[in-house]
Amino acid sequence: MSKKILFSVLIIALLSLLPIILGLDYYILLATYIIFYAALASSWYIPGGMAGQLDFAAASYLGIGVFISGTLITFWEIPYWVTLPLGGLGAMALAIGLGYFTFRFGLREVFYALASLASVLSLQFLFLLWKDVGGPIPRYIYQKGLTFMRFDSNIYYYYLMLFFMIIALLIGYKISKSKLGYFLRCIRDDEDAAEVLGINTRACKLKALAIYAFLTGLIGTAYVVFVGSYDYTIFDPEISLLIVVVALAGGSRVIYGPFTGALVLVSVRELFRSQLGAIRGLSWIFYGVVLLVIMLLKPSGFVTLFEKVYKKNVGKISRSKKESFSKKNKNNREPSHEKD
Amino acid sequence: MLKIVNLTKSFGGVVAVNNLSLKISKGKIMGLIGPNGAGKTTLMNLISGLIKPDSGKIILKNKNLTDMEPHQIAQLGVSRTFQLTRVFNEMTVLENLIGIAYTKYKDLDFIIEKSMSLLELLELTRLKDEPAINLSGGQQKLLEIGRACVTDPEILLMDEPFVGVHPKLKKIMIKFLKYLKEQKGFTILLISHDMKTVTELCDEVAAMNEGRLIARGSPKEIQKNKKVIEAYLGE
Repeated sequence: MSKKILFSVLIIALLSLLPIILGLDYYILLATYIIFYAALASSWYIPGGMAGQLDFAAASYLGIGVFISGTLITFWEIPYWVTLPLGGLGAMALAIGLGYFTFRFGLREVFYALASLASVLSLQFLFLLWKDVGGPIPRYIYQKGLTFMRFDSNIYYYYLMLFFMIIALLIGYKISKSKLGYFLRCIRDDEDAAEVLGINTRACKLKALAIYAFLTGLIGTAYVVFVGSYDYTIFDPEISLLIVVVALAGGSRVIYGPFTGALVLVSVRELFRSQLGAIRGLSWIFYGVVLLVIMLLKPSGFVTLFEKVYKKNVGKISRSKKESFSKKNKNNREPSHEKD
Repeated sequence: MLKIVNLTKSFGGVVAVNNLSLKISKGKIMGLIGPNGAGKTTLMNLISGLIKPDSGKIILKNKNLTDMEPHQIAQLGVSRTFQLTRVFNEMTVLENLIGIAYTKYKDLDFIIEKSMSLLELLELTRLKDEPAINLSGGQQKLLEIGRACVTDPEILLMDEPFVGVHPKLKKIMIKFLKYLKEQKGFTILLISHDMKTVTELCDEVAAMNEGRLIARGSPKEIQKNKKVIEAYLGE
């Protein structure tokens, strides 16, 4: 456990020093995009990984955060730091509404996935047609300075995204060790059994969704000041798909799976894009191949490969210790029954 | 303790439970027998709230369970196991118990202590850190029983716990059920085709056929009951 904490601190320290290592603002821009997806995937772990809900609504919650923050800054010049919690709360309100109706009517698995994806498309049309707030033309944030979190250098946004990523990971970790975490994992493994044994499955799923949407909304507010403009295309099903793909490829069952999946796959995609040019659809072919390989070789995600190697080594150590112990205490055997 | 009054449930044209009334007394083990399709599992699903009845009432300690959600019924003290084992596969053996114990208790130390003592009684201590999916079918059945007992329920519903279980593990199971009855005063409704075990464990047996209650009495009386023999032989 302490080794895991040490490893996490090292990774975060490395990520914190990355802009200094990278130097060029263009590379920092790429790194910010990668951390942005890692933050989103880490938030997704709460309902997706822990509770097993195949949620495709990330772009909805992200978009709400973007629009709340963007609108308040551009229309009324409200400081970014005030819009920050409002973006999270707006996304959370949407999630509670969506979740209440989908869970109330028993939508599960693929049906829940489709309903959550439909929310992205619905919001895309809504904000395209709602000309007072959205409309077809992008809106720009001209304000500058710390009040509006608008800077020329990307380094500030890199740290802002990194901060949200760490917050998402810490909240995910805290939940995984809590009562809610146990309940969510029971729901993931067998929702009906969990309900019949006393877990209020609907309330637990709703809580997970609300926390995830709040975090995603916060990331949305950071995204809009990072990009400096916004329009209805933020409600992009590709963003939702990408988060689920990287989370599954990394390993949705462990907290660092979605985060690692995002770090590795988005980095490789950006590398491909910079080397092969922005050929539309190329990144999806890449993800398709990656997913195929992972589904064939490691369906639980590639991070579990390292976990197994770690467990195998630990197992070897403990086995050798046990063997030496049992040699000394031949008569002191623990009672056990064999598998039937 | 548990009172079932004129309970009816149909699936399309099939009446699975037909105007059934039954009382289960506190601290007793009641066996529920009957041929396949008699409606035993449907009755258990109705009590635990997985399905809702067309008519009739289920009353536990003067509270009507009929319109409650399954988790509310469980929190009132109805726990169960399933015919086809449904453990939380990716969670470890200990976590299976902790997850459900949290529905009643708050203190994790107490929960762990309680779970460990149950695992010891079920002889699963050695496997506490093993994911439940790695256990054999019989061990999963044992785990399911432990999980259902971890909240100290008012009534425990057990659906065919002995099917496909190795005699060695069955022995552990029977010993554990006797412990629950004698030491903890549990009330249990036990569905089983294993008449020998039913006779050994149950204070009373109810027999069902075609959704109706056809007989009720001591295990020995039920074995001699003509209606029960006819139902099993299909005459």
